[in-house]
Amino acid sequence: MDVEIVTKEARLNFRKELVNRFQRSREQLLPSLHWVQEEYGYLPEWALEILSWHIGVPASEVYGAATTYPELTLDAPQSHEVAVCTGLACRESGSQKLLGKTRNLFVRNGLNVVVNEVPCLFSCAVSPVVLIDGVLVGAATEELVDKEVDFEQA
Amino acid sequence: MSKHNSLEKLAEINSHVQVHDQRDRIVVQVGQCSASIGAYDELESIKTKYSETHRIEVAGCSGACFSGPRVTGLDSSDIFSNDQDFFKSQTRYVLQGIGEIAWDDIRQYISIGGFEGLAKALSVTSEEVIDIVSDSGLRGRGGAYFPVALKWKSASSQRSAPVVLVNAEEGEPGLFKDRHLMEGMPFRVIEGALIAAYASKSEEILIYVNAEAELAYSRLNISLQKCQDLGLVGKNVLGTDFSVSIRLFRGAGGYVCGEESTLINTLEGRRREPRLRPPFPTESGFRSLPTVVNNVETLCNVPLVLSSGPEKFRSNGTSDAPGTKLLSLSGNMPYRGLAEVPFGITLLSVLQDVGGIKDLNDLSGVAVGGPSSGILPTHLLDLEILPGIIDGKNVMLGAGGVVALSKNTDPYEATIHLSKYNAAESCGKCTPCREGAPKIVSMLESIRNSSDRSDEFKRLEMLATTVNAASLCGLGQAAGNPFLSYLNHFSQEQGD
Repeated sequence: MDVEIVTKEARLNFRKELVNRFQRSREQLLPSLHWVQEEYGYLPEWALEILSWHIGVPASEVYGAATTYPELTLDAPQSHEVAVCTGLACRESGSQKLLGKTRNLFVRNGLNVVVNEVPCLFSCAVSPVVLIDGVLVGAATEELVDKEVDFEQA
Repeated sequence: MSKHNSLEKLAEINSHVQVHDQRDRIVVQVGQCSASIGAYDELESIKTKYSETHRIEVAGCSGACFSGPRVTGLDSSDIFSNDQDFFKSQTRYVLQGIGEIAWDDIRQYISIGGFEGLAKALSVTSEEVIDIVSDSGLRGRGGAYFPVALKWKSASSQRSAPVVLVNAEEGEPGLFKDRHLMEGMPFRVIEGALIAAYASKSEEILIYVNAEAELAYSRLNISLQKCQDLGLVGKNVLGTDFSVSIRLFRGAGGYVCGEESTLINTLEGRRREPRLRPPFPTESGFRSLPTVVNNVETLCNVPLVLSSGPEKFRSNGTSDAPGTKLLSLSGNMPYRGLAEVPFGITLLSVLQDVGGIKDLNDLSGVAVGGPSSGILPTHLLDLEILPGIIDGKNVMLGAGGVVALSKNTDPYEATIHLSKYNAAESCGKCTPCREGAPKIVSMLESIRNSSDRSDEFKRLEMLATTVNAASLCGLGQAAGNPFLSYLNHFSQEQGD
């Protein structure tokens, strides 16, 4: 992973924000990780270090939590975040084909975006479902995915 | 303050929140699933057309996801012709009112009997509440079906005051019932939790909501504030001596977090791993305090048991398993969605009458109970829906996920899929699950195309049985089930 250059001021501000928002307690680990991810779109390593200092949990454990929960990520977001559900119910509605089509769609539009597979998005009754930049698309088709992704903006 | 004025206090709140908008209602059902198929667009278009003449309200979804987004109150789009079967064959007990009343309107909730259960509970002692729930025979609906009253009793008899933890993690593939309840009737979830807290002599409630269920989280949050404003949560609930606080907590995904001791670890900011038991959470759980962990569906039953009595609750289901169960129907069937049926009904009648399946030959099997369970062949569908194991072997009802597999789906591939899920979700704490679950997958994959699988199947059976027997928590103890149920139900048919 590339080392991110973060200014001293940014670190200080981040530290202040943490102090204002979260108590110094282990129980704040997951809520504060959620908050960092909402702020930055991912969990930057420098932020995890400061977080560890503030809530008083060893950095190794903060890293452990950050890497075990599927909702949390250490990777900076791509231009588009796309996930196709390939759970049992979505498979019944042709999600495997849709996955291929969605991947092709991005290739055709010249976008280097990793289209992820997820095991379940818990909306099985409107399968197949695709998650595009945080928006859930039910009864998804190639056309709907095409419509939802703003290829111009990328 | 006396205990006996809780009912009067409720009536006072009710008169306080009355509104006098007499215009006709249009109800748009918006939930996370229906939003994904255009419910917000529908809402907008209805607002532009009717906001002058009608009262437009947003409700949760009634469960008929196959015909969503649904709008009621307008003559034309009131009822889809095929809806009738879907609703007619159900027994709506926990789901009553969902999709009909606005999710954020406490007045409407009170008008259908909301908070009556709480008021009744507060007018008697904690022990009497436990007795009433014990009479109803209500059991946990999260998959383990532990008697609710027993759990409360055990926690309330500890030395320190317990914590009530609402398990809304619902991270099992194929399940969407708790989310529907939280989106459609957040007040009922809160009411149930309040009664649980009163019965188990707790003053603190934590609600742990699945990370994916964002809409449910925000609706619970708003409803909670409304309850606090009206004195239903906080100091001296409904003018009684009972005080309680509620906090919401967002999860971050992971099937294993639905396991109660893992849930507690997550809340405490520890590793996402199960704990050794005993001690059980009712003795020592969150912050080493006695902890009552109840599922959302369980808690939604509680207010109804109190308001309409345990006899009404027992009128559904069987004598051993009274009440109803929510089933999340999906896969290859016409009417997919959330259905409520009494215990004791056969799977076949659910699939045919509610799910609308006409020809069983279109199916290769039905996956019941998610990845901790297995797949039933079509000739075994006349089994009854009951708590626990339903085929006498490895297929469990679990939390009530039902996925119909089309005849084009090979049950073997579906078995691999389920096993893969278990392997991926294993937290890695105990060896049998961490090493065994992936091994089951790799063995299944390696013999996918071989003609004689009997030797490998014997080894797999031993492995799966060992994983089940030696693992620490519910995930590992069921990780072998998809394969074992395949072995029981499908392997002979296919000549192995």
